Amino acid sequence: MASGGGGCSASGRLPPPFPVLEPESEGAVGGSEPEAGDSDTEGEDIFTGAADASKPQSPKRIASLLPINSGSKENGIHEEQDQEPQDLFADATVELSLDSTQNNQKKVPAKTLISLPPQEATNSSKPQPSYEELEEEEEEDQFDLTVGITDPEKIGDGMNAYVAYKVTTQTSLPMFRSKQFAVKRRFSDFLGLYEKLSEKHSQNGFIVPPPPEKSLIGMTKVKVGKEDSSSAEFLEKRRAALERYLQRIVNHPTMLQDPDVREFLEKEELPRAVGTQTFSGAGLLKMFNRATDAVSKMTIKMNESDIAAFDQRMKMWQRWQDAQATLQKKREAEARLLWANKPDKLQQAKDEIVEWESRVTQYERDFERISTVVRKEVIRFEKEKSKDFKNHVIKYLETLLYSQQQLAKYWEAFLPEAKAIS
Amino acid sequence: MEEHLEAGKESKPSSMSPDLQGDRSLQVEISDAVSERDKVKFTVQTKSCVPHLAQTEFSVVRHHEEFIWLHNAYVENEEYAGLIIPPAPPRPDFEASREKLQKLGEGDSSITREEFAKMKEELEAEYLAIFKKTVAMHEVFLQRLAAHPTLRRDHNFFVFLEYGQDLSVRGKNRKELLGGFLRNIVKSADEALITGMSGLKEVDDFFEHERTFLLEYHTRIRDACLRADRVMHSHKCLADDYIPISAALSSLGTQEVNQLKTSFLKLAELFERLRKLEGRVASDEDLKLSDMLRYYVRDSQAAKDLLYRRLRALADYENANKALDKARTRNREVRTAESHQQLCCQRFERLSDSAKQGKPHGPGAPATALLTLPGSPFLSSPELMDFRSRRVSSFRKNLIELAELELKHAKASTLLLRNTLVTLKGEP
Repeated sequence: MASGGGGCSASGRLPPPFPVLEPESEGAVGGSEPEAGDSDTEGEDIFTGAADASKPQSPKRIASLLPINSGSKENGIHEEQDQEPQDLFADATVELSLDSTQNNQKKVPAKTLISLPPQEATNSSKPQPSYEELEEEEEEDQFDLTVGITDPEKIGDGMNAYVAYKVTTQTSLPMFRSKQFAVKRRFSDFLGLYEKLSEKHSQNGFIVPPPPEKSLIGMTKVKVGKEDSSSAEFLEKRRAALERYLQRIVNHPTMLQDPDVREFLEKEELPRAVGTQTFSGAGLLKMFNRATDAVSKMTIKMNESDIAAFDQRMKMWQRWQDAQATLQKKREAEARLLWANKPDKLQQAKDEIVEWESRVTQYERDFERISTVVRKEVIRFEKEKSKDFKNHVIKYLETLLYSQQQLAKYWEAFLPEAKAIS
Repeated sequence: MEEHLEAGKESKPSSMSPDLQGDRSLQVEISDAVSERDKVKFTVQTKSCVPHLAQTEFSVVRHHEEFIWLHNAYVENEEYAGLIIPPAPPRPDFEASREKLQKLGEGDSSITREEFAKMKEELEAEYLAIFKKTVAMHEVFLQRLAAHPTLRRDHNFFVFLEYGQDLSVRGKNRKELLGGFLRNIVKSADEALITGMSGLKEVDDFFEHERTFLLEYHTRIRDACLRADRVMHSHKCLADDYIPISAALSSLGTQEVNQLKTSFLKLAELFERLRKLEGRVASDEDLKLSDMLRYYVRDSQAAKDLLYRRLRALADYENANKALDKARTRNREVRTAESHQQLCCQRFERLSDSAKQGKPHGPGAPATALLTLPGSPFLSSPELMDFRSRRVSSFRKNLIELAELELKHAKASTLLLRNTLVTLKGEP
């Protein structure tokens, strides 16, 4: 099934509409035609399983479009795997999922990846992976790694004090040195990790989860040593936020591969991340009561990093368009030269044309790549958001339920006492 | 939702001796109340079979200051020094509510229309509740007076009940207020002095015991009242906070189109219901617990006042004794000293008896002769005992009702939460 996002015909000058969430009927294997440009409507039911059928070429397509230029950073595991460099996702599924053999079967050697965009677009047998297929890929990405953040511990004194959190990891992934380990990290370490990750990945359209906000007031209170409930509350909120942040990172299959992340989880001592001083940011400290506090834990932030991903895509498209325009100009120049009959300049012009042609193709491919990535990311994001939200809400309601039950119990115990008053 | 505080009503039948003649029940109630700009006007309706009164049924309109005037009349009356004067009703205070309504009116445009409507509804309900409460307070005051065998026969009381026109009682002006304030200070200083005086020994263990108990009780109950208020207030705030949460969730729900949408909408509905429940919890607590505590803060203060008066009388008596002795040694003005001492003695004993045993005496009658004046009803329940039994039964009734209501609400919340959880979990 052709998808609107794949319609990258050379004649079109608008970036393909980003049908983020192509509406599909619930549970449909892919019979209905997705409508392009239907932004924000998620017809696909995230919570029900994705369709089981999938075209064999789709994983290849994904794999082929994966960041080739990311160099060796993400492909750290390849050294161990000895697989084709392009098949990152296939590797990922082998690596991370326990029982996603289905994905392996789908894996087709991705040889014929480079072909001109128009051909790919119109080739219905090799369509851009449909929404549900992408989703299915994600669905089966189960992996075995849990992180936790505990024990905020104040180290040092006065204004130079900081709080170290214990980051515990439990995993059975072979890429880590041991099954269970813990390290001490401070807030600036988290910020440093974010900076490194966003440097690397946001160019490719990945949505890097944002770290918690810096808070001047809260930290100062903690540093000064004010042992009141507000600073305890602040620490608890920060701890929960950091845990959520780390959880999101490790949930992201690409991020997990990143050696920086691994280093963060494993290494004993991290070099101090500079440029993350608290005094540069102004934080807000709001006082919530317990109920709204729990609600605030449920908010998922979709902020600049996500927008940045979209911006990257726009930039890519722009670059491609510019290259095409330049190519056009070069062609015109060539035509003019022909007409003017200057053979020497002609050759040069021809060379330039060839060069620009290849550039155009390159940029177009980049653009495609980034589009896919962003799309996948958004899907992931939506899914994660829903799952996360639901889990939190359920947990919250359960605590409410528990406290109401306690209440009932106490009042029941009290009633005979009241009756006995005389 | 609102009930009248029946603090005093419980023990009233028991305190009536069967051999009452001619003194039928005097039924007083506030049948209507109107809130005008600053004042609240109460319509006091009386039904009586007392032959003394002109008609059997009549009603007048009174406002708050007139109630206070009546109360002061009782307090200042020496005859009732040995009795616990029912505490005056608190001033009707709509300020807080009015302010909130005003703020909502000017309020910000960020809240949706539904939210606004809900909050307005809440505030109006609050206003109404305060209004009903102040009516109840005034009514209880009158009813206790009507039920008390001595106090109900006061002339001022009848004037209050009968006199058709405005009593032209003005509120205290600043000087009088200040005067009242100073008098309070003097009184408490006096009390401290008396009790601290080495010479003054409490002659009666009963009173000693009562006094320590009352002092302790008063402080504790005041503390409890404050805390109960805080609890109720936080329940109320919780209920109010649920309004924007629910609204936000339902707007989120209308934006999403998938399964998440139903979750959101379900949650919005949940919070809406929880809000109502919490609101009810808050109002129940308010009525059953806070109001009752508050009332007994005032009542115990009245009891304390009684004890103070008695103590004062005792001090006077002792002083009179000393003066008499001095006069006798000097052999001057013995007669005046004697009569003064006699008076003090009588007063003291009257107060003691009245507080302890509750036998009212006419002014000047020798206390030592346990005569009952003809026509005056013989009461078996002493003032302090009365206070105790009233208190106990009121606490019992209110606490039982409170516990039952809280239990009911907790169970309802549990059910609500459980159902929502099942639905949420059920959806994949």
